[in-house]
Amino acid sequence: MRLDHNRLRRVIRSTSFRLAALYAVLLIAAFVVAGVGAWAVTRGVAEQQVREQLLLEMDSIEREVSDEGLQAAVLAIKSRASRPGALAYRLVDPNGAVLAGDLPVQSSVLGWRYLDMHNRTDLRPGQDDLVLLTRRLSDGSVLSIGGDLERGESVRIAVLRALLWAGFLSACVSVIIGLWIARRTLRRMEALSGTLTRVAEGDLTARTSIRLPSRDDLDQLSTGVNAMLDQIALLVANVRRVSTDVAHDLRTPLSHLRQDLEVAANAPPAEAHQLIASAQGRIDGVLRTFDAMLRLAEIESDSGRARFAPVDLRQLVERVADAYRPDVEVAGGALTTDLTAAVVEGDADLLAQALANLIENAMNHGGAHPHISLAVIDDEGGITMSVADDGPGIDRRDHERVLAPFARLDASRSTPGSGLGLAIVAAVAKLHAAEVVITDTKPGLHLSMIWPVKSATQTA
Amino acid sequence: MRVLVVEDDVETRTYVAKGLTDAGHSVDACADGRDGLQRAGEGEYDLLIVDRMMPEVDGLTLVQMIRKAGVMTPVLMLTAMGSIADRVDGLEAGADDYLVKPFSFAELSARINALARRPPLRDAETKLVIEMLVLDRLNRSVHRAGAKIDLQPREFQLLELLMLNAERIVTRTMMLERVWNFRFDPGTNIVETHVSRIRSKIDRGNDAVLIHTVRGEGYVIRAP
Repeated sequence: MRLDHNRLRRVIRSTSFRLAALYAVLLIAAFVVAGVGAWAVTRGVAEQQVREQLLLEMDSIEREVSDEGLQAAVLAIKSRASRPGALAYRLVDPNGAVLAGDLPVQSSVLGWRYLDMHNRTDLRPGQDDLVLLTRRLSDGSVLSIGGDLERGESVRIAVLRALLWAGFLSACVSVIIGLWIARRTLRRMEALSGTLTRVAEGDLTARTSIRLPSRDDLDQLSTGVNAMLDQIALLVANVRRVSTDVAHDLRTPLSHLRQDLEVAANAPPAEAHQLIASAQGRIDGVLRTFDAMLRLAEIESDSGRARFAPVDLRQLVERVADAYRPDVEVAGGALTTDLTAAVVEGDADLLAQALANLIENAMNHGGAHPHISLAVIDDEGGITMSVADDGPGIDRRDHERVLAPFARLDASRSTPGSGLGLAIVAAVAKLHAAEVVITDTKPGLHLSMIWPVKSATQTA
Repeated sequence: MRVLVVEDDVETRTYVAKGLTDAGHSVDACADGRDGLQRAGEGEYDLLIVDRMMPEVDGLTLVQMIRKAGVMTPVLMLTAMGSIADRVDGLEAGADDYLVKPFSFAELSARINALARRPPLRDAETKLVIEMLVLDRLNRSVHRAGAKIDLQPREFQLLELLMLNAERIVTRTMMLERVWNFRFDPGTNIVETHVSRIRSKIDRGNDAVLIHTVRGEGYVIRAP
């Protein structure tokens, strides 16, 4: 019972019910205004009709008096007055004697006059308000004829009443419809806010149901909320995964470091020196991971665009290729370039780092003697900077994943690298509004950064 | 060398000051920017080491102010902020070099030595000579004992950097910055590979080895 009471209160407080109630009030107001208007207008029309009737009657009696004399008129008045629903008459001779008619008032004023009959004896039922026409006839007698205004009134009252009833009923119907809509909407809104409450309480898997195929505004809102929740869940999962990955990635070198120091503490000086050097190397590795993380955060923060300037990609690729070529050759591989002139708006340092990361990726994962080819292409598809190797490639399913921070395709994390190299490439590409495209060339992997035509500045 | 260290973090200040004193420099240290500004203005120093983030007056402002006042003493800026934009800010403010924490003392020491006033005209010299090794900066050729040595452009630049800093250690990071213009640390051995190539071209067949590796620090070129 109490629940129902609460529910009713919630329904009544809901937006849709309030709108419906407002609508009902406005509806009633409109009907009242219409009723008053109709009342005023019909009253005028009714009075006009009565007046015309009175004038006609007056004219015809006047004519009778002048044609056939006063007596005939008296008779005529008497017979007319006895007819049901007739007008009220009073004929007074010049001496003041009443000759005919039952109008209870003496009117000495000529012309139009209203008589309020309420405080007089009723001569006829329903004879309340009279409009009175008084005229002095040709023989000096005075004739008053009264027309009942109230007679037309009853019709008008009936009309008005009907109007008000209609208004009242429409208002009731609209309130009921309002309640119904409000209840329906409320149920859906409650489902939505229930979902949000669950999310606020920490359940990120909560989603609100969407009715298909209906696509009203509430469904759109629900879809939006669900999409937002998906994104939040993804971000939270990423943050969780990254923190776990960071912990894992740092735990191994730190525990090795601890072992080194432990052994060094009891080792003879010469051996201790070696162990300390090894410990320093491990710390450098940890610091490199942190540096990469900070760099990634810096690039992702988007502030980097402030330093954008035209970058000659060919020159940049040549510079980076020169740096790595000897290394690749030492490993028994080869590094070749195929470069066209192309200029993009960007940050040369970050682009160099992205390219270096791509080359290092190819060196680390492109097989024992990697053949790496770098290319810059400028065609109708935009500007492309690509790195290809002839290694084992990456499984199609993992293409998306390798760009995420700490993505290592081998769970043991035994291959070199911080696991952030390609994430940095992806972040640099995003900052430059370029797209990272991964294709499996079987054998080998082809990674490219592509600037769509519009964002690239082209030169000869 | 007289060195002023302006650094608010006690541990770093002590570490740097002790290391420099041990290396034979005369070191003054102060803990905040205002003090540092005053001392840098009045003292005769050969080098300033300035932390970027400090109370009172921060490192950027300090460098800007002393440069405005006409003090041209070389400045090495230290910072915990390693972003590229921060580095550019520091250099634009008038610092001569920029070192990101944490750094090894070897790195600091090598950079200080490179910053210290070089013998006059050293930078402008067209021929750099060590032992029988001659590097001609005009026609970009290298000879050892009269025999021409063919070097790739980057190898030439690297040798030039080493010879300009002859007898002083040049670190891996310095090479990456000055030769390849890399503002990041590659995870591979590109420096080592290049140096070993130059070494094989220059020192091969010679009893006198000129290019030496300083373990954990960098490389140095010196007469035997």
